[in-house]
Amino acid sequence: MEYVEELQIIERIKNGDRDAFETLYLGYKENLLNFIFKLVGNSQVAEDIMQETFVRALVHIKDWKPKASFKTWLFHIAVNLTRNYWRRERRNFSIEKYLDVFPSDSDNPEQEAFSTQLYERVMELINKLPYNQRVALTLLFFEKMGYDEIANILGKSLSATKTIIFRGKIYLRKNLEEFL
Amino acid sequence: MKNEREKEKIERVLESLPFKKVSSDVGTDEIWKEYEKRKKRKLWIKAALIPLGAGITAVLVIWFHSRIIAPTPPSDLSFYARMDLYQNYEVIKNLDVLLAMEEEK
Repeated sequence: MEYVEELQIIERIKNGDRDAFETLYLGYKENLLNFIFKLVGNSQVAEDIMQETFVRALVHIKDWKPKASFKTWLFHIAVNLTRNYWRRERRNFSIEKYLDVFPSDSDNPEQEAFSTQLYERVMELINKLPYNQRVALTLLFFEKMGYDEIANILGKSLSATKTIIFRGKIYLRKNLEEFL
Repeated sequence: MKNEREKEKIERVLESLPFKKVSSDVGTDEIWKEYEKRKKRKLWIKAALIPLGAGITAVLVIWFHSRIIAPTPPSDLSFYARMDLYQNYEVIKNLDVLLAMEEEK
């Protein structure tokens, strides 16, 4: 979605245009859902949080200013809602399998087993990271966002964001030595 | 040098994680309905808060006026203070009589 087009759509939503909202929703739905899933590890919870994110965005859409992109704002809301979810459900959460199962008829079963083990270890470590580090690394590596965008989503300065990412990487590197 | 290689490896691993793709059937209907509901709730809250705020302000204004701008002293005085005032009043009222009695003496 182009910036100008997006601005027009948001203006229409502000005036109560439901079709405009549908366009925006379809544009961001999948991206947002998969991002939240990576943070919570449960598709049902991710869906609920995504729905709540859009409702909040609609309720507060008049407060949105085109200083940051709409996507950044939407992700910022989702990150806050996910943080609240983790605070509430610190003990009672169920994590599904994050990763796709590899086909079993692979040419190199040993390599496949190693990769599966490595990926599972990486996910385990990412889940142990402090919340901000987890969000920052997820946005950087899995959503391919830039440092500026990540800083906006986290509501932190650029230098603080760089430090958060650096610490996360150091932690992963230390704990993945056996695989590297 | 080794650190650099490790760093690159980690980044490659992270970027290649085969995440499951999730999808959702939630349409805009539910979201829009919830939005309308909350918008109405927000209006109700505003409608309730305005008279409440006005009431509280009125009470504060009346209190401020009665206590600070135009206080009514007798109600603030203790029983003994009021007795003193009453006695002084009686003395003043009967001052002529008392003076006459003094003169007679």
